Formats: sequence, structure tokens, C-alpha cells
Amino acid sequence: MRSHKKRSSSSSRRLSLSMVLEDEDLLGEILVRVALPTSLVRAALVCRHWLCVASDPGFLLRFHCLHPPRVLGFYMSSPQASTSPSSCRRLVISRRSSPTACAARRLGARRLRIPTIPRWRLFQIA
Amino acid sequence: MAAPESGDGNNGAARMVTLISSDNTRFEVEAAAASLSQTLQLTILDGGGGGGDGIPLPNVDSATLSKVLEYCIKHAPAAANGGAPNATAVDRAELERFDNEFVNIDQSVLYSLIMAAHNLEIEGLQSLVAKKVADMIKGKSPMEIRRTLGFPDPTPEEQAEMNAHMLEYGWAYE
Repeated sequence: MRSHKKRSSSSSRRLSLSMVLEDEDLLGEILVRVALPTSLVRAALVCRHWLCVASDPGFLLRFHCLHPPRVLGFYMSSPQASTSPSSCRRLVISRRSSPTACAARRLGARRLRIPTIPRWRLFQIA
Repeated sequence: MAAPESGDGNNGAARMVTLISSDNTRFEVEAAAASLSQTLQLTILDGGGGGGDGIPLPNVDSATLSKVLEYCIKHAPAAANGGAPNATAVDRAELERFDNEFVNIDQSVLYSLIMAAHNLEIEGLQSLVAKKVADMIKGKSPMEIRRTLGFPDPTPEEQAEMNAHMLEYGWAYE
């Protein structure tokens, strides 16, 4: 087997890079393997083309099948919640160290509000 | 080309085929290894690539083809056994070790490999290399991903778009 020569010039690197990353199929193959929804959101924000590929319904379905959502945590409300709905609800995250949990915890404090909530309710982040 | 370990259980002496890279380098390889490529498989089944003919691959240069064949030769025995249902844990661990080292390469080679695996339809290789690039992306912010993959600097328009996204998805930029 002959040994390969490394092509290290930035122009050839850039050419290959753009050929790979501008191809929707190849980019999709890469993005579908980032596994975590948080990594996918970060990747989708790289540029408009990546956002387009990462938000395609067919792509998202495949991503969802390959990496099914797991229960991340739940909202817990105390009996007083029925009288003061917004103050006694707490987002409890079961897997505290995962990147998804970190993002959800930050969002959970500010954005993940549920208007009416039973006493216990599982909440799943896709 | 070094003779690979024998992986064909029912064909007798291994049949060889010749592949010709875009820069006219000839590679002689076992048909079983080259057949990992769905693109080449039909041609080889039809008897192509033998003798002095060779199969031209105008989209794959010799450096990339050499690397692709290294993968195919290593994986051909397992593929010939139908995904190696009776492979030992040692065999599987050895293939995994090979795969990990195989993708530990310069980014330009990685990109050429993705293109070649896509063109030649070698599913395992395509998956392996795409996973490697995905691992390079995982856990990084959009700007870090751009830097890692050698994107050019964002245009003012792209920068303005990113700034707007940053307000909406601040956590993703940390």
C-alpha cells in the first residue's frame, strides 16, 4: 500500500470543505450524528445553509429516530399551586450533568412555562 | 498492494481487480474488498476490473483511494461473513481499534474520504467518517464550530444574523 501524501495547503482544504459541507446529503450525514439536540441547535446556528439542512422535516424525523428523546425531568408543583399557579412550580431535572440538562435548566427558569399544570406532570424535551 | 488476510470462504483463490485513480495510479485489490463499494459491486459482479482493464475512478485521487482501500481490506473479511455474526469480541475490538486510528487524520484527508465514501457508496466508511466530523462539532458553540472546520470569517450580513440569534439562543453560544 503506498503511503498517502498529506495535502495541507489551506486552499485544497477549503475546496474539500466546501464540497463536503455544501452538499446537503453529506452535511446531513454529519449533523444527524451529533446525537444531542443541544449540539444540533448549536450546529444549526453555524450558518443559514446548516440551519436549512438541520430544520428539514425529513432530517429531523431521522434525527428523532436515531436519537429518541429521553425524559429529562419533570415539573413539580405543590398543593398550593392551584391557588397560585405560577409560584409553586419547580423544574426538576433528573440527569443534571448532561449538556441537554444544562441548556434546559437555563431555559427552564425563564422560558418553559406551562399555563395549567396538574399536580405531577412529566415533561419531555425533544 | 500487500496481500490481505484471506476472507473468502467459498471462492477459492481470491479474485483480484484493478482500480485506477484520477491521477492514473493503479491499485490491485481483492474483489471482495473492492465490493464493499456498492458502486463497484455490480461492475465487479459483471466481471469488470480484471486483467489489464481496470476500473477508472475519475473522482478519487490516489492518496484518497489508498486510504479507502486500507479500510476496505480491513473490513472485507467481516463483511464477507455477513456482518460477522460469529466474530469474537477480540475481532470486534480489533476492528474498533483500527477504525479509531483510521480516522485520526488530517482534516483535508477526512473531507476527501467523505466524498470518496459517498461516491463509491461504502456505507461503513461513510458512517465512520461522518461520525468523526460530528464528534468534532459536538458540544461546541457555532463560532467554535466555524473555527474548527476552517470556515472563512463571517460576512457582515452573517455576523448580523448571528448577533440576532445570539439574543434568542444565548445558551448555544456559551
